Amino acid sequence: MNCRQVNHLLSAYIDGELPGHDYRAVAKHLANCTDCHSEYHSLVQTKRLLTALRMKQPTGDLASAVIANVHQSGARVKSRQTWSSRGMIFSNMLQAGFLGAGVLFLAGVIYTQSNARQRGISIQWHSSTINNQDRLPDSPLAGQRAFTRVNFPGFGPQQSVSFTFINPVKSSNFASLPSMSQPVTLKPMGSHRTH
Amino acid sequence: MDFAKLLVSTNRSDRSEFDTLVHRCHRQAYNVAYRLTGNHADAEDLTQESFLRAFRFFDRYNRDMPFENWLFRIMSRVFIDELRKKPKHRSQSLDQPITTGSGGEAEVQLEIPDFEGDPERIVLRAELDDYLQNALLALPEEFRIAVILADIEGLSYEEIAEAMTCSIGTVRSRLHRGRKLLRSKLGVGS
Ligand SMILES: [Zn+2]
Repeated sequence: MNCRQVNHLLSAYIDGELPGHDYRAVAKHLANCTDCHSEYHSLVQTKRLLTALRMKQPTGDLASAVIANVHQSGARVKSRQTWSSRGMIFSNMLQAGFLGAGVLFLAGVIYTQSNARQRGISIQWHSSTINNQDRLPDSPLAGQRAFTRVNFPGFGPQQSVSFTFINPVKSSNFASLPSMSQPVTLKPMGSHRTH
Repeated sequence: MDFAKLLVSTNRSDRSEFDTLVHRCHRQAYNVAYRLTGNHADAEDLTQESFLRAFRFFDRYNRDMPFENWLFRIMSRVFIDELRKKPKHRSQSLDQPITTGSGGEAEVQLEIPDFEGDPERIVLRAELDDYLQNALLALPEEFRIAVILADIEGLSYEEIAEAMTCSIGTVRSRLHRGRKLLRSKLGVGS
């Protein structure tokens, strides 16, 4: 072995990480080569400086802090293929399902709102649904566009509102319903104003 | 069915095993983290993040491997990942004079203890500790990790190779180059 080859192996030699034949060859070379031996010596010193470093101690109760952090983070051990993991996967699917439904619902609300903003509010009414007469305009307005000051949450104070008269849903108790031939008289809402 | 309750009960044994491991290893983990980062705050963050990832991937932990070694593997990864996110780490240059705690601005001569003597009688001063720490921080990260795992933690080349996910030949080369760099930074043997 020449000096260059030995030099490459010196750290592994120091660490006892050389196979037997390499170890013996390096040892033999070091015994006869002062250059390589001083190289070896300085590397040993460097290693010993590090080995002698004192252990740095954490301040405070690091173990408790770590445990609290791990368990509060919501981190979960990833699933193993056991019955419990299948339960977890199912629960994840449930969560995903709810999430999906929620997203769809939200998208629907946003779409409806943006549509309403563009087209104005459309109220469909019919005689059998009129049970709070104060909140509905006069029947002659049905089918016409009107402006109202009624505040709908999420909408501007003045937006066009159209009223469409539709056929009532069939009820089993026809006697309780006003006759379709008679006009339904509605008391105008106090705050509403038409243009 | 209450899946949340089910989860709590199935994870309970993993959790108690993990808590035991945290108690057993946190000091060692902190020490390595400190030597890697060179300051308390970063060392604490690195320790926390390493344990957090260890817990998250606890199912992948092979019980044949000492937990510490597996944790060092995670820590090495976290350390390199975090370093790449951050701006260049500021470290004290070895060329700057070191200031002593008590002696004011006086330049401290680096005293290499005579290690041929009785190691038990060698007292490393805090300044020497700092000086070594700064020399470590001046090493490229991969050399630093290898040197710390070998010389501070006493891991074998095979264990370091596992921790750094590289070959034993690479470990040998990183260690050798790391030690030679350290030697020149510290002025050992010159
Ligand atoms: Zn030689």
